[in-house]
Amino acid sequence: MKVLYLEDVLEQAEIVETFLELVGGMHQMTHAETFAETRAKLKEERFDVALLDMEVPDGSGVDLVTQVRELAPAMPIVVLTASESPKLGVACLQAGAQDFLSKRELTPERLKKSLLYAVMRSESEGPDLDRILSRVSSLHDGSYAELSERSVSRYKDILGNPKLLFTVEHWTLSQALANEGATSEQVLALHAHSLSELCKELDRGRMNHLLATSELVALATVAFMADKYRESAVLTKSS
Amino acid sequence: MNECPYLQPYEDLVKKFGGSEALVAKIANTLLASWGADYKEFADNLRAGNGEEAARKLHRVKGAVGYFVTDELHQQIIEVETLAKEGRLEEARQQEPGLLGSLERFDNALRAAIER
Repeated sequence: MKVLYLEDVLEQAEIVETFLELVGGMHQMTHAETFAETRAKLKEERFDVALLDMEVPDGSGVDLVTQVRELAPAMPIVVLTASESPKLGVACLQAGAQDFLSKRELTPERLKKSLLYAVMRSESEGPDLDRILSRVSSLHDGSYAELSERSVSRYKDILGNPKLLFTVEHWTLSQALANEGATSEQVLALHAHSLSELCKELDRGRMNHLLATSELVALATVAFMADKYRESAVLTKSS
Repeated sequence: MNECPYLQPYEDLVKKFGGSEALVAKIANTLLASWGADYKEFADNLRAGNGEEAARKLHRVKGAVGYFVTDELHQQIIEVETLAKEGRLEEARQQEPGLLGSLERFDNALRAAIER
């Protein structure tokens, strides 16, 4: 198992290396002292799992987990820190880490199990992803093609960019779809089509992230359009 | 048996590290050689009024000695680290000599335990 360990204290890295040697299991540790070094090593090589300290000279805290996750979305992460704060542990897991270990409770056996379970947990996310993608394909019936090209391409742009979701850009597109008279089936097909297109461009880690939020995007779009249709029905009735 | 309130019982440590006294000694020697320098930087930064940097250095000390210290000393370190991080430097300065004393007792007890 190839382990990338981000730790700025050399002595700590030596201790962890000793632990890994002791438990065997063909562990091969690569040590990085800074986030910049981590980034460089991830560009050169693929690792089975990353072990992260949370206080290094060029990065700290949960942001570090997020940044490493962005560099290698499919690589499992185990946080190893001097802190024992449960709040910090939860925040790390929410940011995408598979486990959170306190240096104080670290033993060779615990380290071995944590790394192994992190890899297994990450691998087990695979089949679910395939099932969701096949469900998405079955929803994609081609009816979205009756919508304007601009709306089709804009929907994919917005779905693929987390910064645009649930912003004025998103609501403007929902308004445009309502103006076109799009049906909920067409929006669902458009959503499935955009999702399949985006998944071709993304790796597994990013796909997982996108799939986790995408249902809410479709729901928000259809709900916005439903409001617009209701408003226009009320106006028609009153005139 | 050791009587220092800041060092976990030696037998427990050996058990924790898979029954290997050699591993306990190796880790102990690594941390005994390193915590002092980080502590000095912590104390210097605290005196100079750099709370965040002082907290960062003490966090390193906490990570290094964490394998062996008791809850009591661990809490003592966390308390001073928090004061430094929150910028309550005067309170941190007042507690610093006591913390150093505890760490020195821990250091002596650990040296004695692995030399036995």
